[in-house]
Parts: sequence; C-alpha cells; structure tokens
Amino acid sequence: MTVRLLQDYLIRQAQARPRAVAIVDGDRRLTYAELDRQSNSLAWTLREAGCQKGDRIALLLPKSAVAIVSMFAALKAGCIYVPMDVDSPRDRLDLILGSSGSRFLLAVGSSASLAEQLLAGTATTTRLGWLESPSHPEFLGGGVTPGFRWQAAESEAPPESTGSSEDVAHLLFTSGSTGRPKGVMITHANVIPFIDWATSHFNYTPEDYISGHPPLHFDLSTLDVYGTSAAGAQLHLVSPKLNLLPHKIADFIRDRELTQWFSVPSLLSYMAKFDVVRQNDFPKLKRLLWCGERFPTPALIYWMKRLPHVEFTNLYGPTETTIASSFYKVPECPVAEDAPIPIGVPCAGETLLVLDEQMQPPPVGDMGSLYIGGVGLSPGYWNDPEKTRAVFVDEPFGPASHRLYKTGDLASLGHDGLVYLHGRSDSQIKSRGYRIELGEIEVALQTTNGIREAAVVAIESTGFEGAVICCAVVPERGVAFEPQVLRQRLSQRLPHYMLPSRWLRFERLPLNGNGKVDKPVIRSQFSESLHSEVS
Amino acid sequence: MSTCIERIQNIFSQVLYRDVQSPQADLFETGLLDSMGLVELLFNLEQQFGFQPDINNLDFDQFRSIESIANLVESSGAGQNS
Repeated sequence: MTVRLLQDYLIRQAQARPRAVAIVDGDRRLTYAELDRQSNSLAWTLREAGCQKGDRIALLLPKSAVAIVSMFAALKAGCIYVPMDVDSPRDRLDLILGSSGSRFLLAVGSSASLAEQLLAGTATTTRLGWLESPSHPEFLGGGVTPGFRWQAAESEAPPESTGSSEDVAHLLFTSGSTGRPKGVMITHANVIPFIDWATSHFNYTPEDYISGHPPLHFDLSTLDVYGTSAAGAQLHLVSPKLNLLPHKIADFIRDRELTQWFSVPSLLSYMAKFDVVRQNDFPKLKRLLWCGERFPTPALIYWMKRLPHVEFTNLYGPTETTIASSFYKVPECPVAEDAPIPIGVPCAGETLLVLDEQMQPPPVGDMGSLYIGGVGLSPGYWNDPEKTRAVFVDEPFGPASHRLYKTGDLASLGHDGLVYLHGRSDSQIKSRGYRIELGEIEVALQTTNGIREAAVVAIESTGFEGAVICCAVVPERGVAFEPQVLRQRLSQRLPHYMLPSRWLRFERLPLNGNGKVDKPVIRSQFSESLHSEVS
Repeated sequence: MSTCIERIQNIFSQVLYRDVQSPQADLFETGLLDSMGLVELLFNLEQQFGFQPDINNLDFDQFRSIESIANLVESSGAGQNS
C-alpha cells in the first residue's frame, strides 16, 4: 500500500504485523493492532462528537501511548492535531488554544486540572474530550462538562478518509518575537518524504528499538512517531522526569537495549558533563542522531571515544521546513576540541541556499543567510499571512511557484561542499534545544509587576545548556530587586525553559546613539558578572 | 549559625533565583528544579559544604525537596565543620 497520509504507515503495519509491539510506555505496551484499532475508535468518537475535516484537536496530554493514539485518531478523523506542552503555564496555552481555534481539547487525569482552567468560564468554543483511564474514570472539574468521553475501546475500521496529502496534519507552535507563539502548519506531504528518506538512509528495521525522547510538541518527535511506524519498530517513550538525572537516561538506553537514539544535544552534553557513559557502553546502539542546536565538539568527542561502534549524525532544520533539512554523518572522532561540525548536505528533496543581501550566492566560504526550500517547506503560519510573508519568500532564480524559508541562521558553503552555521541574524536563541525568541520574554516582562523596564540578552555558555538567558531589570520606584520573586511571576506566563537564569539590577537601561536599548553593553555586563563567578 | 536547610534555601533564592515556598515543597511538581538548576545546585553544594556525591547513586527522591537535599548533604557527612 502506498503511503499518502501519515496514518497509512500505521494501517500498513497493523495489517502486516498486528502483534508486533509499537509503543513501550513505562510498563505499558501497545501492539500495532491495538494502536490502529484504538485510534480508529477515538476517530469515530471525534466524528460522532461533530468533528469535521480540518477541525483542530488540541492534545493536552503528557507524552504517553494515549497521546500517540490521539495523534493518529485526529488524522483518521480528517482533523489537525495541535500538541500542547502540559508543563507550559496556562496563559501561554490559552494563546495557543485561542490561536488554533480547536474544536476539542483532549485531556487525561494528569492534565484535567489544567484543562479545566483553560476551558472554564471563558468565551472559548473549545470543548473538552475526556480520555478516561482506570485511575481517572471521571472528569472531576466542576466548571466544565466533557463534550465526549472515550476509554481505550477498539474499532476494526477507521472512518472513511477523504484526505489529501496536501492537508495540514498538525500545527506546531514555536516562540514568537511579538509575544504570541506561531503555529507552523505541517502537511502530510511535508512529513512523508522525510520519513521515507530517513528510515531508508538510517536503515530503520522492524527489529529497531527507537527512543522517544523529545516532547510531542517538539518537531523532532515527528520522526520518532512516524519513523517507528514506517519501519514497524518499537518506540520507547522516555519519561521527561529522567532528564534531571543523567545516569537514569544512560540506564534507560542500556536496560531497554535501544538501537537508535535521537535527542537534542544539550541532553548528550549533560550526560557527558556527569560522565555517565562507560567505554563501549550501549552495545545494541547503532546510531545516535541529534538536532535542534549545536552539539559542542568536546561533548561529541566524549561520546565518540566511548562508543566506537555507533554512527553519529547531525541533523539540522527548523520546524518550518519539517524535522530536518540537512544531515552530516561525522566520519571520525574530531581531534580538535574547536573543530566545527557542519550541518552537511541537504536531505532528499530539500534545497539549502546560502544567499547574500542581493539574494545571490556569496563566494564559497563567505557568510550569508541560510534559506531552505523543497518538500518539507511548510505552507506557513496558521492564520497569519503577514508573518508567513515575512519569512516564506519566492525563490530568486527558480520557477515562480518555488518558495524558500528564510531561517535567520547565518551560514557558509565550505570548499568541501558542506554547509556550516555561524549563529543568528536576529535575537532567536537555542537553550536546551528549545527555540526561544528573546522578544517573547521581553513582552512577558512588560506586564510583570515590579518592573519599570527590562531587557533580555543571551550569552553563549561553554556549559551544556547552550545560551544563558540574562535579564536586566530597572525595578519600579521603591520596589526591592528580588529576582526570585520576578522569576516566579514570569513563570505564570512563560514555560520554565524561557525563564532567565541571570538577573542584574540597573538604575536605567543603557541606550545607544539611536536611542535604543544598548544590548551589547548589557551583554558585556552580564559576561563580566558571569566571569567573576567562575574565577 | 544557620542550619543546613536555611543555607540550601538561600542557594535557591539568592543563586538559583527560585522562590521555594517551604522546605517540604515538591521541587519536581512545582517545576522548580530542572537539569540547569541541578547543575548549579550541585556546584553550590560543593562550594559551600564540600559535598561531592557519586552521581550514579543519586535518586529522584533525594532532590524532591529542600528538606531531602539537606538530609542527603548531612548524611554524607559534608559541611559539618563549616
């Protein structure tokens, strides 16, 4: 059967290998037949509750087997799923829910109270879809009545599909510089070519035990979920709790005998920092993939020295161009700790262009802006033609229909034919793999009590976390400067990974000649204070 | 002289800038302790108490609250002379 829609991967495996294990979630295992039939049943429930083609279904679900059942169910009902971060504060989820205009919000026991806060007493038209479990049979929120309830039931067949591969499959919300997260539309046709390329290039087999490390609202998880289904392999969901203690992650890889690992580099650097990987550890592991940010070369050397039997591949690509657009298999353990690791060459069907301000390729080795085109290119941002036009542009010398995404990354094409990254042309940063617009933090600060003025800068660190977020504050007159209180207030608006970890009090913010806040001056003050802490 | 609990409370408020309601508050459920916080916490526990744990023997419950972190530090014998 040809795969035209993402759920076809699952349907195909359920026919070929129904009893094979698809998902391992703690002590719970779900076979391909169970995953297929349960998602059929929930798809029928969504249809019967009034869902129509193109309706958005928000998933307020922790990473779990039932969350993946829900993803497939939404697709089988012809809907668009919107994975939500259950650890995000309510205010931010409110923005995402409102922007997506979801017909239903699916919740389970652990997210019930957050669901009630989001849906109770507001003008929202979103209704609750309650996913029962033996430990939480009832939705106990007083102010909200579920629009439907579903328990792990099974149906033989899904609703009839009228879907096209150009339909949007999911919306992934990323940080927005104006304070509102942007919903990137990803179609079936965006994902399928990458999954087909990756599973073939990385030789995924039914015998593979694949990690499910990133959260489901993070686009890397798209490869975990659909790559595993495409191969008929096992997906081993990694509990986010394990991230705190690096040796627990190492135990997990060892005990589960994982064969492929895919995560953000900050986790791998964290494991290297605590030296939890033994020589020739993880004998079953064949491949380690990372994406989302730069993997510091010293940490890569740490891993490659200990695991000579493993292939190490860097994947690169923003959410807007679907999972990854380029790859680089590190041929051998780097010798120099400052050796740059390129982002490599385009994946099948993708184009990477380094262009100067005149939209012309600069001489080889010179820096320009990185643009990406090809099969993974998203149609744009949900309900936001203005933001879409700003970064999805016409290809300068291709056919008129060809578009490019302006990544905001600075890059060069090396004499070796490989693309190298050289930082950002804007104020977007990466911290622990999360993409963060500093502007989103500043907007949240503007409405935080006790602050007269604030500015946010990032400082590259040599630690595992990537950039360190630093906040310069001019307190309100007569208000004491208490960063722990400001951080607490800010945590009502922003997820924890966006909260500044360094704070300094300023009498007034320094201004440059144009009267704008002088970020370089602020950055150097933070650099000095960081430096004095270390020495 | 301040107690071990008070000194750890001080690390949370003055170094990690995290507002912990009580020594018993669950640091995981409240999201107050993440990997970045743990690295800074361990660094400061070493600086202030000479506490150097064997990472491979650490468990979640030992970091669940300021009280349990204080128990961990005290039972290791670290910080007794400071």
